[in-house]
Amino acid sequence: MSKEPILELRDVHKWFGNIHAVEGVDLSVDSDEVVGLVGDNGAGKSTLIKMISGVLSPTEGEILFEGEKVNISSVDRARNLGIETVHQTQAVAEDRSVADNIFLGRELVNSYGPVNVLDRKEMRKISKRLTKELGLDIPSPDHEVRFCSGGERQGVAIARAMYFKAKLVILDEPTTALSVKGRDQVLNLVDHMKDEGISIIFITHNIHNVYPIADRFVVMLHGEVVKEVAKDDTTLDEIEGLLAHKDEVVSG
Amino acid sequence: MSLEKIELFFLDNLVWVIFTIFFLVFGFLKPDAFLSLSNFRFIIYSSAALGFLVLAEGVCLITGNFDLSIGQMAGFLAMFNAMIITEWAPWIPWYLAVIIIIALGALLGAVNGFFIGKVGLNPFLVTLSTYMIFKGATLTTSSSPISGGFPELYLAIGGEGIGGIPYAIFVLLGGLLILGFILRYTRFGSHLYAVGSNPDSASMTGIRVDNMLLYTYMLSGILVSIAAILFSGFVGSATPGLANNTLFTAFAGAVIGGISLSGGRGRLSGAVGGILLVGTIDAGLTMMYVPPQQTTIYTGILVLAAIIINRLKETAKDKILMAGS
Repeated sequence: MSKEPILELRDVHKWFGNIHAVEGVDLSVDSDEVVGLVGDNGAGKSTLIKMISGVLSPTEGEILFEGEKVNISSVDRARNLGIETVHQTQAVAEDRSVADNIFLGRELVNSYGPVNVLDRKEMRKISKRLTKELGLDIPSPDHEVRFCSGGERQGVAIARAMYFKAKLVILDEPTTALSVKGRDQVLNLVDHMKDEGISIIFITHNIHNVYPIADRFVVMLHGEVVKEVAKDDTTLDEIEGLLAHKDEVVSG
Repeated sequence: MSLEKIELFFLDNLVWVIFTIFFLVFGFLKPDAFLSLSNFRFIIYSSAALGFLVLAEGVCLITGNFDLSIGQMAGFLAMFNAMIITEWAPWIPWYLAVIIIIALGALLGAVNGFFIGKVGLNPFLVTLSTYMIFKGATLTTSSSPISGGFPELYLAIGGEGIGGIPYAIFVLLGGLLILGFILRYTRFGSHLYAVGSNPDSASMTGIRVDNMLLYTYMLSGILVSIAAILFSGFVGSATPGLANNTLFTAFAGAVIGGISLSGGRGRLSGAVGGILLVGTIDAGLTMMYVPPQQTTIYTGILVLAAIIINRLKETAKDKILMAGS
C-alpha cells in the first residue's frame, strides 16, 4: 500500500462565536484509501468536511493537500485541487437529463470564435460510458433525473466526480436517505472509485453504512477525534460501543 | 417508433394539437374569413409583439420566477423612446433608436434582476412595485399619444412588410431562432433551466444563481423592448396604454405552451404554439363579432382549461416515462 497522505489536517479548529465546533483535529487520508468518518449528529463531522470542501475556512490549523499547505477558500478552489463533494441531497437538477446533470456547471463546449456552443453529443457519449462503467441502470443519458432512484442519483453525482478526475471524494451521508438496494448500489460505486485510485472520505452517523467498505475509521465526538483505527485492528462492536457510550468516553 | 414514443411526441406537442382544433373550429364557423392565407398571416403578424412578451415572461418562468411588470415596461419603453426620438433628440436615426430602446430594456430588466437575484427579494413584490413605477412613469412621460415625428423605418419594423409579409414576422422568427439557440446550446441556457429546476443544487455545482437571475431579467427586458418596437409599429404611434392587458395574455401564452410555473421546464416550440393559440383565439373571437369585454371572459376560460389540460398532460407523460425507466 502506498502511504503518502493525499490530505492532512493539522490541529484544525473551528469556532462559531463562542462555540468550539471542531477542537483541534488531526486527520490524514492516504491515497486509494477509504476513510469512514463516523460520529453522531453534532459531533463536528459536517463542519470538518466543509473546511475541506471549501465552504468554511478553519479558525486555526493547517490543511495540506498532496503534501503542500493549501488555503481552500472556495468550492471552486477545492475542485481545482481535485476535491469533490457528493452531498446527501445529491445536488442534482431534477428536471434535467442525466447528461446535463453530470456536466452541470462545467459543460463541454466547442468554441467558434467568441461563441461557445454546448457539445451535447460528446456529453451524451461520455455520460453513457460513465453510467455504464459505474453499473448504473439508467436507460439513456437523456433520462430525466427525477425518474432516477436515490442510488442512481448518487451515481450521477459520483459520475461527475469521476469525469472531472477527482483525487479525493467526500461523500456526505450518501446512503442515509436510501433504500437497502440504493445503499448497496452506492457501496459498489465507492468500490469502483477506489479501484480508480480515488481517495474517499465517507461520512456517516451510522457505522453500519460504512463498515463494509472502509479501510480505516475516524470517530468524532463533541468536536474531537476520539479514535482513529484501521479496520484490521478493530471490530464493529468496538466502534459501536464508542458511539453509544459517548458520554462515558468524554468524562473518562 | 414505439407506441410510447408516439404518445410522448403527441403529449409534448399538445399545444399544437389544441391550436389545430381551435383553428379548425373557427374555420368551420367562419370559413371564408378565417381559412384564408391573409388571415393566417394576420394572426402571426398581430401575435408577433405579444409573442415577444410571451418569451420575456417565459425566460423568467423557466428560472422559477416571474415578472408582472413586462406589460407596463413595454408601454413605458415605447413612450419614453418615442419622446427621445420625436422631442428630445429628433436627429436620431432609426437604427440608433432601436439600439437605445434595447439598451433601456436591458437596464429596466436589470433593475428587476438586481432586486430579485442580488438582493434576494420576492419576485412578486419586486415586479409589482416596478409594474406600478413603470405605469406611473409612462403617464408622466406623456399622458397623450405620440403619433408624429418618428423616423419612418422605426415604425416600419412593426408596421410594414416586404412582398406581402410583415417585417414583424421576420423579427419574431429571428428572435425565436436566437433565443432557441441560447436556451439549447449555451451554458447560459443550460444554467437557466438548472436554476429553475433546483437553485440549491445549481449553486452547489458552482453556478452563480444571483448572476443568472440578473442576466435572465436583462434578457427578459431586451425581449420586452423588441415587443415595444413592434407594438409601436403595429399601432403606428406610441400610446400610454399601448401594452395594457397584455401581461396576463403573455402569462397565458407561456403557460399554455407548457412552460412550468414552478420552473425548470418549458420548450420554445411550446411557447410558439402558445403564442399562436392566443392569437388565433383572439382573431377568431373578433371575427365572430364577440364584443371585446366578453373576449376577456372567453380567454380566461380557455386559459383555465389550458392549465388543466397541461397538468393532465404532465401526469400522463410522467407515467409513460416512469414506466420506461
